[in-house]
Amino acid sequence: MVASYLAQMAPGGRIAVAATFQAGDEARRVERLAYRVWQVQLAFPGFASDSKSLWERDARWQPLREVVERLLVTYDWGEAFVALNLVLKPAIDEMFLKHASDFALGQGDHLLGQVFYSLHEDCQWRRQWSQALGTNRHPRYSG
Amino acid sequence: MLRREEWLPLARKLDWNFSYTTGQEVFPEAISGHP
Repeated sequence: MVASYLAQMAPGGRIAVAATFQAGDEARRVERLAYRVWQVQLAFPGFASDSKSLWERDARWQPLREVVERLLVTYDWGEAFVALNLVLKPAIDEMFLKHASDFALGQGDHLLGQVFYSLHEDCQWRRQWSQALGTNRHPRYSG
Repeated sequence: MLRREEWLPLARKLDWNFSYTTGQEVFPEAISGHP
């Protein structure tokens, strides 16, 4: 949703396109994770049934939830871009999609490991365009 | 595989109650319109 805001508020057409594709990638991520949770629930009824309440109340999740909620109302494009693409997403993606992928594979959950690995690949091009824009290395902006 | 009409209620279960902002701030009328 924040990526969609980045696209909507983007200062240029190319940035809007990149952010729109990023929003698409993130929608894919939500769909894949939701679908995998549903599959696991078929085998283990009640699995993740407390995930929403943990997200809303568990002290360990509140710093992340606060950042996400504040990002949802950050309508300054530069601030939103830096906070999401240069700060929050690199950390979150690395933790959940890289390390969680390795952990899942190590625990014998090959499918989850592969799902996370595929989603982590989505992150690479997003990281490249964000870093290029953030450091003005894109040919369009480097003069 | 879920049927198409089954996805929205499932997805809405991901909605949470905001604590650090409000629904009005997240979905301002100028952008989101109104029911």
